[in-house]
Amino acid sequence: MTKAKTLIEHLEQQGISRRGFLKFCALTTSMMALPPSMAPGVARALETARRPSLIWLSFQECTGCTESLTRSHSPTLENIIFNYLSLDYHHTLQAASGEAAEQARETAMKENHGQYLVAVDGSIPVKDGGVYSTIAGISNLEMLQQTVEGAAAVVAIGTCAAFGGLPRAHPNPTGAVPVQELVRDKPVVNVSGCPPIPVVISGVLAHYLTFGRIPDLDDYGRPLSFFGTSIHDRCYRRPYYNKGLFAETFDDEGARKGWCLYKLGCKGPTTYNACATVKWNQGTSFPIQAGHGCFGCSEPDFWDAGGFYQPLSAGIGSVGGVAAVAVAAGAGAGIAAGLAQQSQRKHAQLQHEKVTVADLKESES
Amino acid sequence: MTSTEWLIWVRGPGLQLSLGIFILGMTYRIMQTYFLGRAKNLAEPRGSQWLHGMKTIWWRSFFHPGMTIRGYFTIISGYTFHLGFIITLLFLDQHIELFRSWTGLSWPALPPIVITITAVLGIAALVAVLVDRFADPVRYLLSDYQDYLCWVLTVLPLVTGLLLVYKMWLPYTSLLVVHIISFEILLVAIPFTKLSHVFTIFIARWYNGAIAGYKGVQS
Amino acid sequence: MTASADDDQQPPRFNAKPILNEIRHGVDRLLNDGQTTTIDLSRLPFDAEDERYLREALGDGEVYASVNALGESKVQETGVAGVWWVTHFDAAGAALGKYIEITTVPGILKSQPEDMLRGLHMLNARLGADQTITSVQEQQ
Repeated sequence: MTKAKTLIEHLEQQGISRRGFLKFCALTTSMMALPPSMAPGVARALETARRPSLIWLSFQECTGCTESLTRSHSPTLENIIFNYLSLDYHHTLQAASGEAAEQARETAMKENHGQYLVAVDGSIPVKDGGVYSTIAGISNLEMLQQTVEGAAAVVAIGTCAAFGGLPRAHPNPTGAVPVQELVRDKPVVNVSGCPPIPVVISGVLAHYLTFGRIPDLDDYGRPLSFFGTSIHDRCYRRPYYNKGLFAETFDDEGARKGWCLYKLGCKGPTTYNACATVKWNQGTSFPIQAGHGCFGCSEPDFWDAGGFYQPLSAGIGSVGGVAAVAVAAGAGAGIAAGLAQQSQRKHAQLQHEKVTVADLKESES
Repeated sequence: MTSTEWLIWVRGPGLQLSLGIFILGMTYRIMQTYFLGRAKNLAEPRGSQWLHGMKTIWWRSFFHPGMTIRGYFTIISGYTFHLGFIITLLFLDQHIELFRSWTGLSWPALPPIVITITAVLGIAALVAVLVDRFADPVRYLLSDYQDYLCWVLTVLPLVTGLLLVYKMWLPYTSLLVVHIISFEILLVAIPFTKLSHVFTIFIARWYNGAIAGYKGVQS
Repeated sequence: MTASADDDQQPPRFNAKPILNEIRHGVDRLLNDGQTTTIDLSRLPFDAEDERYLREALGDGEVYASVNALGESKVQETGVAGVWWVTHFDAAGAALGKYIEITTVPGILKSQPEDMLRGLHMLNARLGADQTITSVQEQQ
């Protein structure tokens, strides 16, 4: 069987009808978070779409992003996307290992120079020449630079690749940095989340596949279609927030009634992601629906943004020490100033000479 | 810096810094005032200084007929602003959470709609007194830059807070940063401006009451 | 807490109603301008409660169809003629997408020219016909 050149050929080879293709297009449109009226346009674009090569680089990461993707909830759809994309290198998923694996990457880079997509999960350590993470004796930093050189676009998958994530959390011992700090001359899409929602990963890839370019991005380089609204804005518990009805603990009456989790540390208001609509595990639920506040895992520096169970309006870190020092310093300075002024006054009183009539006459003349 | 980094800063070091300056400044002002000392009163006391001092602190918070000698405007706008500001500050859930993170204490909140009303009333009263300050020639002449600075510093937390609750103008994260910063600037400014009256008014009242108490007259 | 007990027993249904209203306008558009509408329910904060509310409000209609293409798709007309539930499943039976289509016949039910052409080829081959019937598309 010859390698299919376009998606439609690929589907025909699999015996999928035009009707099936249209269903696929409707679902892909949905997956890209585009309005259903765009489905015919998506169909037209996919008819001529070419098969891109995808190189997946895993750096300082926990493989949670790949786990998320392989447990994605619409296997048929993702299968097609991933079968259609030529996943030429992914050191966790590929059968080859060692030199053969690295060769696959180099071959893909050579054959598709300027055309291939690079997906990165994990942050890149740059301290001490990047020695803290290496693959096949090549530092992550070097491998990224090598691989990105001929890429058409880079997709940073997960919060580590997008913003540095856990490795970059204080005190960042490896000098970890996100992809966007190292790749300046190629389009970079950040698909943040710890892990990201699988359908968001495939949605971004589908977008590239369909339109041949990356989707519209927000200020953090994330696709607007998925990261355009906050969890809070789309949260089904939002009406309770508006009414001021909050769960105070995880097992009180408010928690049982499904009231807002703001006071239990929910970061929904400052977190932009699609969890509240797309949800997890085949659209079953998402953290807030399960009774736990949002961690804000798709935002930069979420590990350093205070305790997970601290309300957003509370301070980060204790103020007790600062307050004690301030009281001591303020009291010391205040007492000193007060006493100094008191003695000044007493001194002035002692120096005070009574004015006589003669003095006044003198000054008049 | 991204808005998230800003948020981490204003909730962390920014808050510690501004609260530290506020406490340091206020302690300084209070201790300085106390240690200036008072002239020795050679007359025999005819009543308790403390009792009358405390009584005056309490009773001066309330309306009494002599206050309206110059009309009702200042009284009404003054009460409206101060009550609006204090209720908004102390009885919004999010604010209580901040106080709880500092002190471990918490108390029941008022519904957001009530806080919206108190905040709007507070802002309206501030606008009214500003207009009056411009309209009244004497007040206008007596005003200096500090009066306007204090006005701006006071109105900003109310306005940004209201925008935050109703999600207007800026994205939530940026607006939250702006709101917290406006509060932190206010905190820093209080000890070093007329706004220090948030504490010193009680000293002044106590002193007035104490003098009356010493003399054995009604305070 | 801060609010009365009467309004916090029921979870607020704030999505089903606006959707029902959108459907109302969609039916009006279809009737008067012939314009079709598709509402993608998987991209809204829309849970099982919302769906129950909507199903109850719309009722069941006369047509029910099952399509077997890339997994199953269920198509069901509601009690409001012209308003259809369209649910796509994958081969494993998991729901991939849920839509409300406001149209006379949902697109997924219509036969597609490309598939017809394939059928035509099949019939030509089966009959071994001397005079193969070709479509206009093929002639082009």
